[in-house]
Amino acid sequence: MASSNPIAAVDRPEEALSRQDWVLLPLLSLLTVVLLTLATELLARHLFYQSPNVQQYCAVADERTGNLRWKPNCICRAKTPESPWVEYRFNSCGHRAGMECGAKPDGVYRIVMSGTSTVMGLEVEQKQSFAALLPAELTRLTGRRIEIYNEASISNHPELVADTFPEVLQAHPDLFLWVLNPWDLQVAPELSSAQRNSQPHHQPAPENRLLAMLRLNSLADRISTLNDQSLLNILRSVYADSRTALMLEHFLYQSQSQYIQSFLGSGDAWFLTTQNDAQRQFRMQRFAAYDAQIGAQASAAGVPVAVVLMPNRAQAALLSRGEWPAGCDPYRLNDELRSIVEKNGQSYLDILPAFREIPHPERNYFPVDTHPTVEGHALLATLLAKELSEAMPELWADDTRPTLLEGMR
Amino acid sequence: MDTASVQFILFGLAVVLVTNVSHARAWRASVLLVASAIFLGMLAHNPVTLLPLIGFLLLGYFGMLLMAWGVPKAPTGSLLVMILAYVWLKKYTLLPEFGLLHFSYFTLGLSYIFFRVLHLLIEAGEGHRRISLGAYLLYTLNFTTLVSGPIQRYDEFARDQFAEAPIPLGPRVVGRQLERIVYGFFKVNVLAMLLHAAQQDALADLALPLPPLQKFYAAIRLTALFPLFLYANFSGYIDIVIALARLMRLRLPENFDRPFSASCFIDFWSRWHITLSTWLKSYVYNPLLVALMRRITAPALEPFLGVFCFFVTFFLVGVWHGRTSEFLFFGLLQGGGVAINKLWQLVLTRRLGRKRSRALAVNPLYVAMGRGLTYSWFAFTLFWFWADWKQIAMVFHALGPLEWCGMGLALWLLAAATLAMWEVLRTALLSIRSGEGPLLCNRYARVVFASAVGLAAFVITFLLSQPAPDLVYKAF
Repeated sequence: MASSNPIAAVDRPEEALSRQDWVLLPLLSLLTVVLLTLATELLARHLFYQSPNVQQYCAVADERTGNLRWKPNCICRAKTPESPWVEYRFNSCGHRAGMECGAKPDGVYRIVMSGTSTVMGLEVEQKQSFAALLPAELTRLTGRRIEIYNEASISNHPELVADTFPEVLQAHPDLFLWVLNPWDLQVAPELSSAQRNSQPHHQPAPENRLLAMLRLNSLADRISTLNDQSLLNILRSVYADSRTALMLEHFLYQSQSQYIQSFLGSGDAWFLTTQNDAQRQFRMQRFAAYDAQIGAQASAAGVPVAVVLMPNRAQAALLSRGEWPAGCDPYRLNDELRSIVEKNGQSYLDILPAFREIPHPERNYFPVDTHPTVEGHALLATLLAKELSEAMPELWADDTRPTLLEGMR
Repeated sequence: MDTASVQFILFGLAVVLVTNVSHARAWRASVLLVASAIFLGMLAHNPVTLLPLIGFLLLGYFGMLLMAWGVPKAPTGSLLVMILAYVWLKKYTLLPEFGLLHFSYFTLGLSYIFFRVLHLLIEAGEGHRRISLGAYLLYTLNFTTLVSGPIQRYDEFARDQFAEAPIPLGPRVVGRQLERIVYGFFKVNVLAMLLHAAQQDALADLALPLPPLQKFYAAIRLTALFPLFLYANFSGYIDIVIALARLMRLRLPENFDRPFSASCFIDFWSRWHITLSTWLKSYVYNPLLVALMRRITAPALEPFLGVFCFFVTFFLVGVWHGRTSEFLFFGLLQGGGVAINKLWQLVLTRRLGRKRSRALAVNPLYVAMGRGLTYSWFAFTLFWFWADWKQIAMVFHALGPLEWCGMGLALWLLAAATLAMWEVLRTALLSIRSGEGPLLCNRYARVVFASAVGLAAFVITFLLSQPAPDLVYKAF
C-alpha cells in the first residue's frame, strides 16, 4: 500500500550523506538536547520557584539528641516549589502553635497535638492549617471552649514523640492527640535521627529532601552516597533534584490513575500492600513499643491519648475510588494501627472511611510534595472534628451533648 | 521484552549488528532463527510452556506436507484442523472447560502465527509453493513480527530474507529507522501512557458522585481518548519493529496509514491494522464474494452481496480480537458499521447518481462530518474492546439514554471539528517547502524534532520511571 506519509515518501536510500551532514546532524541533535534541557530547567525554576526553606532560616540541631528543633521566636517566609509563600512563626518554646506556650486559660479544654510536617502545617499559613481550624470546629460541635496547642514538628517521628513526651505533659493537656501519616512509620524504626536528617535520596517526604539538601549541597556528595553507581542511577539522582523533574511530575501526577500506578510501583507503597513481610512486622512492632511508652507516661499523668492516621495522597485516592488492584489494601495500615492503639488502652480515630465519599481527594494535596493544600487542611479539620467529637465524650460540654447529638442524628 | 521496552529495542539492535556482519543468505537466516529462538526462550522462561505452540506449528507444516503429497481433502481438512486447534489453544469461552489444557502455556503471538500459517496453507492448497521447514519456522517465528504483527505475506518475507543480494542499507536509511524507533518508543511509552491515564481518570470519574455536567465531560473523555491511546500504543510498537526489521534488511508491511483521516468506516479499515484487514479481504471477503456471485446471479442483489461479505469479513476482524462475548459484540459492531457504510454508499449513488455522489464525497464539509462520525463510531465500538460487560453496564448507567445521545452528538461534532483543523494545519505545515520537499521533512528539522522527542521519552521513561501501559495487541 502506498503511504500518504510524506516522511516515508522521501525515502531515498541511494543518496549518500554529505560529509558536512556527518558532522552537522549529530551536532544539531546534541545542541537540541542541551538547549531543550536548559530551557526547560529555566522555565521550571521560574514556574516552580523555591526559596531557602524554613529549616535553613529557623532550624537548629538539638545539642543532646541531634534532632532538629526550631529557634524560639523565629519568624521567616519560605516557598517550596509547589506551595505559595508561607510565613512561619515560632513561639518562645519553638512551636508553631499559633499561640504562646504556658498555662492554659481557665475553662478551656486543651488538646496538645503532635505529629510531623503536615500536622505542623508545612506549606500553608498557620491560620489555614487544620490545627488552627480544628478548635473552632470542635467548639461549634461540642459547645465547649477547646484549644489546640500544636507541638508538631518536621522531624517528630514516633521515636522522638515518645522520647520527648514529658514536653507534651508540660503543656498541661486534657487530651493528647497524635496525628500520624504512613511515612512516620516507615522512617521511624529503621534510622536513627542523625541518619534520618542526613538521608539524601528518599523521595516521598519533601522535608527529608530539604533536610538532605542542608547537609549535602555538592553534587559529588550526592553521587558518593549512591549505593548503585550505574550511570543511569547517577543521572536519576542528579535529575531527581532538578526543577524540571518536579515540574514534569507535578503535571503527570494531576492524573489520579498515573499517580496511583506510579506510587504503587515505588518502594514507599509498602503500607498499601497486603504483604506481611519481616520489615512490615518490624515497623509495626517498633510503633507498638513507642505507642506503649507514650501510653504509660500519659496514663501516669492522667491524660487520655487519641491516635489518628491521615491518609497520604495515593491512599486517599484509592479510598475514594473504592477499588484497588489485587495485593493492595488502603485500609490495612489503619486496621493494624487501631489494633495496637486499642491494645495500649488509647482511642483510635478512624477518618479513612469518610474518604470514600470525597471525589478526587488527591486534589487536596500538592502533587509531588504530597503535603495537604489549604483545602486539604480544611477537609482534615472537618473530618477530625467529627471523629473527635463522636469518639471522645469528654470533649462535650455537659449541657450541650444530648441536644447536639440529637441534632447530628 | 514483550513490549516496546528498551530491552526489546536493545535486543533488536544487537541482532541488527550481528545480521549485518555478513550479507550471506545462510548467515542472515541463521541469525534470524537463533534470535527468534532466544526471543521466544526469554519470553517463555520454561521450555515446557512452548510445547503447545510447537505442536501448533508442526501441525501447520504437516498440513502443508499433506497438500504437497496430494492427499485428497487435505486443503480443507488442514484449514479446519488449524482453526479448531487455534480456538482450542486460545480457550475461546464457547468451548467446554473440561476439553481444554489445564496448565499454563505460551500463547503470545499465537493469533499472528495463526494468520501466517493459514496464509501458507491456503497458498499451498492452491499449489503455489512448497517451503522448507527452516523457512517455515523463520517466517512464522520471526521475532520482529511475533508479538503483535504486522501480518506479513510469505512472498514479501522471502523476497527480502532469501534474496541473494540483500536490500541496501545506507546512512540515510539507518538514520530514518533510528528516527522511527525514537518516535515509536515515544508513542508507546509517553503518549500512550498520558492518554491511558486520562482515559482511566475519566472512567474513575464516571463512578464518582459528580454533577451531571462533569459526568458528561468524563463520558466524552472516556470515549474519545481510547482510540488515540490504542493508536499510540499499537502503531508505536509497529514503528519499532518495522524499523528494526528494515535495519535487518527486511521490509515489513505498513500497518497504519493516518487512520483518523479516514472519511468513512470502510476507508478507516483500509488505514487501521492494514495487514489484518488486507489478509481478511484476501482470504475471506474475495472468496466469499466470488462464491456468492456464482450462486446468486440476480443482478439486483449483486450490490448487496458485497454488503453481506463486508459484514462477515469485519465481523471476523472483531471476533479475532478476543475469545469472549464482548469481542463477538465488537465484531458485530465492526461488521455492522462497515455494512451500513456500504449500504449508505449504494443508496447515495442510486439517489444522486454516480457523478453527484462522487462530488459529494469530496465536499469538505461532508468529508469532515464523515471523519467525525467514523471516529465517534470506532470510539463507541471500542467499549466492547477494552471493557467487560460489568464495566460497560457501569459506564452506561452513569448517564441517562438522552445524555448518551447528546454525548454521541457532541463527540461527533468535536471529532469532526478537531480532525478537520488537524488536516488544515498539517496541509499548511507541509506546504512550507525547502529544496528537498516540505521543510518539516527536511533532515535537519527531523533531527531536531527526533532529538527533542527522544529526550522527552528518555526523561519520562528512564529518569522519572513512569510506568507505561502494556502493549494492548500482544494479548490477541
